[in-house]
Amino acid sequence: MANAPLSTERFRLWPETPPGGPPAANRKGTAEPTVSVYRPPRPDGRGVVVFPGGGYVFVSQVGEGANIARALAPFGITTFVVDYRLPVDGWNRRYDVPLQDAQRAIRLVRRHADRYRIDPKKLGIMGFSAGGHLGSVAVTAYDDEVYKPVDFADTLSARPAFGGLFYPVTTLTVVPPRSQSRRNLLGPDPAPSLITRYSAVERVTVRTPPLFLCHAMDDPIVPYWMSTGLAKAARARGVAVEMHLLETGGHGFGASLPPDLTGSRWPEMFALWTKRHTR
Amino acid sequence: MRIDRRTLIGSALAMTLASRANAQEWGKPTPAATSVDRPDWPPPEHFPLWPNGAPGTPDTLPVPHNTMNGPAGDRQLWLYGVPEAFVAVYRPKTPNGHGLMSIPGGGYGFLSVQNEGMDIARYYTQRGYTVFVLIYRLPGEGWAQRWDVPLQDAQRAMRLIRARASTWGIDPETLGIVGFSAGGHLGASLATLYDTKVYEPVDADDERSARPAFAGLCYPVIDLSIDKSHSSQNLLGPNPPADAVARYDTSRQVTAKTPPLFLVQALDDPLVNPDNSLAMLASAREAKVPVEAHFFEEGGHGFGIEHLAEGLPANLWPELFALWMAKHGGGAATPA
Repeated sequence: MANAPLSTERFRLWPETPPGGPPAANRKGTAEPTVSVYRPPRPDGRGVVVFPGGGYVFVSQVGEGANIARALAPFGITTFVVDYRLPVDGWNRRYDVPLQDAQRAIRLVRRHADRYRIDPKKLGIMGFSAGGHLGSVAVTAYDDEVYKPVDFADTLSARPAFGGLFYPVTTLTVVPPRSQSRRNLLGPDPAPSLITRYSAVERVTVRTPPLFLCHAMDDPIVPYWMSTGLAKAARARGVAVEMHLLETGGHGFGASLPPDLTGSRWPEMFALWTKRHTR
Repeated sequence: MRIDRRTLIGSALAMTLASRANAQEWGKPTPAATSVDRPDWPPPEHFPLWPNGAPGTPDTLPVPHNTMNGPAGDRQLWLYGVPEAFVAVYRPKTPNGHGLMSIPGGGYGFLSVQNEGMDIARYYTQRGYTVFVLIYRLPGEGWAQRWDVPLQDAQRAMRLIRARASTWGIDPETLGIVGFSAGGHLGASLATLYDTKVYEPVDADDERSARPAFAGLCYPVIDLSIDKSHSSQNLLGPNPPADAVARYDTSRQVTAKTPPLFLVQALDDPLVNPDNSLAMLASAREAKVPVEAHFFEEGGHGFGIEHLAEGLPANLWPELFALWMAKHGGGAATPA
């Protein structure tokens, strides 16, 4: 399937310079993080803030952004794709940088819910791979104070109504051989407390929102136990969980699996599932 | 109504099923024979597994006393008292050349033949499969070596279907199974113990393989040591021998030759602990057996295809299974 075009409707997260700047001159990612808005033909009040993956060295804006929005649009879901800053770009407190942008994005979308024709109570998140790590942090560290409030939006809750996590990195306590996320987020030799802080598996509580996990078990980069581990921790605390473990799909499939694979059906299941959690 | 252990178990199951959010009040079961809402059963085409008598036949055969169960207007047939194991055959209008054997559940105390047999046949015949519903003997109804009785029937059914595959124009190699609840335990037993000798060969058909090409296991009982419910008690009976107990912890029987597995489970299942499916998933991964697993947040137990509330993602499982089956040799990826 051809890629969906990027949205032309976009807003910046920070009115002035983002926290922790200025970044390095030779940065790889954005210095002005934005949210791209994708409106469905018939919005039903549900919204999803999407964190694309890219191992914290790039942000997969099309495959895990615009294409996700296109897959969800038929169900009435308004999609907000975040171009978050990268921790490898020389920001202060590098590890907090993606979460700063994630919290701020959720709050800003809620602040302007009327403009986007969504119900602020029906706003959830989705994350893919490293963006799945950011998503898993967003559903567990939504109340962490990682930046100084900027305006009225920052008085609003950053707790998502639900979280969809796709082949996510859910803990940094163990580093799979081919996963770059921990080194890129935390840098070399991170303190144990920092590792724990950014490990959703360690931080799940009864207040963690419902989780929808989707992971192919032939994933060569992020092993599927990242999903089963989070599911186990969440269920132990009574958090609602749905989990689809695919035989085939690999890593980074986004919404691109061919229709003869079971994983191609996740948008419909996710749409039904989010409906149950936004009543 | 005579109140014995079996009816108590049936009532407990009925109450659990009735606790589904969408379920209406379940009335008392009524005898199927005198119930106007009973479905046509069995279908015209069916064949017995043991024409010369089943292994371990008791002096007195069980007497059928089937019942209709559920809320008014949506009741279903349960079989109690199975004197003879047989296979019911449902042919598709447009055959795709592949067969699927459905194994109903019922805690090894009855057979949920409508919800987990006839309904399954209706769905998959529409997709071109020839569907065989396995009516296996119930271990608590007097047969010797009760713990082996369902597996005897399952193995024999696979062999007979394969021997007669040309009758239905299906490929014997691609014959797969789908089992539900206790039928999921029987499906898991067949997928792992297909070669274990549990009966003396009857005829040349018993030289055929009983290994399914693939196995779908829906809210299955996997390990009797995990599931200490009625399925375990009904299969093993009082004071079972240690080797029988160990044999039917099916996740411990998985080898590299176990066929590909497809697991479906609702995490709010009030009857069968999802740890069963998780144990099978772990064993399959360890043995490098191809496996897929869908854990739905909602669905409860015993939902089959027809008994899921509208709007639940679990409604997609029959389609997911159809897509997955096609990847393992059975049928086309898209409906005919």
